Amino acid sequence: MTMRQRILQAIHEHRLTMKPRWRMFLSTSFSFSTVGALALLLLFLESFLIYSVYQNGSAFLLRSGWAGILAFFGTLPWLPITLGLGAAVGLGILINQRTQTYRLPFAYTLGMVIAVILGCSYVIATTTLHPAIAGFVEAHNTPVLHPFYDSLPKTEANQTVVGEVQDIQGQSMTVQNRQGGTVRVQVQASERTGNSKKLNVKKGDVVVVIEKKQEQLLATNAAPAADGNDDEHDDAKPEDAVESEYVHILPEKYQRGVRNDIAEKLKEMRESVKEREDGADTQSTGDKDQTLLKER
Amino acid sequence: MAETAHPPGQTDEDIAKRVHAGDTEAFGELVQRYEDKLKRYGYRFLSSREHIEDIVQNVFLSAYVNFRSFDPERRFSPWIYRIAHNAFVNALKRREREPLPFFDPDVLFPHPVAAQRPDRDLEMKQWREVLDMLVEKLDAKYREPIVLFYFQELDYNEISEILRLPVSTVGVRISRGRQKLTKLAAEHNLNFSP
Repeated sequence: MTMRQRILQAIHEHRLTMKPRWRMFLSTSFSFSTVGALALLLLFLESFLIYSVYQNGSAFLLRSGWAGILAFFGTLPWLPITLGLGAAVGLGILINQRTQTYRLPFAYTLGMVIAVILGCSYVIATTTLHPAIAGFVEAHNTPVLHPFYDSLPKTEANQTVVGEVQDIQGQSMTVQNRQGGTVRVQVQASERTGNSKKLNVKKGDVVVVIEKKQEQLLATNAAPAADGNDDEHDDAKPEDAVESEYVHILPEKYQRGVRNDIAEKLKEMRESVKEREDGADTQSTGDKDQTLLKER
Repeated sequence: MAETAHPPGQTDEDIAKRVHAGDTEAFGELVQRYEDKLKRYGYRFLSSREHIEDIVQNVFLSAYVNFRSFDPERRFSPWIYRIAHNAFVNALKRREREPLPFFDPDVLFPHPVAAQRPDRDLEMKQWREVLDMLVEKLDAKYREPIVLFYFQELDYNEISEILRLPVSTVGVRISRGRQKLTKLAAEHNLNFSP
């Protein structure tokens, strides 16, 4: 039997049927949308990670030698990274199945997917997309995304201080951090790190400081109270003093987020102090009334 | 099985239109027209090591199943060759010792299009003789366009459509494939001077 006969026989016996056009359309659409969804998920996760490590200052650890690099990997959130890797593996499998190249080992495809995604994610992370989403989820308290944006970008790595410069005195500056505390930073000139003898920051800059060593000095002077008096409130974070050879000014687009976080934290602290003071006033008025009643 | 006769002189695309209209016998005619061509393509591309007969049959089965995706207003041969290309590439993937052309600068960087046809029939004949002897030794990425060009006698545009590569890349691959063949011919002491 010839090949032609075998094929025609299969057609006549209905063992071979043409796929309807809609099925092909659905199958192609499904493949494309799966690939698209996985790629978008990956782009979102990876760009969020890159945005976060800039926002919380960890990215600058990479410029601080081996110790900094190790500290950087120590700060990475492994859950989103594992999720991202899972999505990359899925995408790699789909690409390998759907493309007809001579022979593409899976490791190559996976490497290519990761490289492309990281490159694109870096570009996305430099745009205002994530700051905009962060602002939106903050304002609307969006479920799922709010805790997401409220944690990682605001969690600084060990040995780093991220905050707004409040005051500069010679080679020393005071930095207001996101936790509402202040940190005094003594900046050391270093040829190794390129830090010049003159401190190149100005008041209002948002900086990342990689600490050389840290010691707690004062337990006061953390955040302004509601009445502007900083001296008495329990929420006050102690002022730390650190020495640093690495001071980086955050790119402008990341500065806004940090300033907002600081402003929000300070507002929260003021309200908390005010509530406590109001509570104390009410209690004291009540006590006075009780005394008056007894006297009568 | 009785084979229905159809009017001669019909193009592949005319026959494809009949298949679309429900004349399943017409598909048999396409099988007959392309069976030997695809087998020759497969033998040279896979160097006779695979079950070409089975692969080609699967190509026709797959073509029939997906026939509605073919637009009869377009040319039939690149479509069927594309399916065959995919089937042969899958067969190659199963082979361990094939080279891995992962990073292919030919595709990324533009090239001037190389001359399409050798000027002389004699040259074409010489190339075929050399190819017959040495085609196995070429990398798949050069082998396939060369086989399509010299043996299947497809033009650059058709090859570009089948391989989904820019026409310029096809030209470059054929040109580089020829250079490699010339070198191989010298290594094997073959009397060949294109």
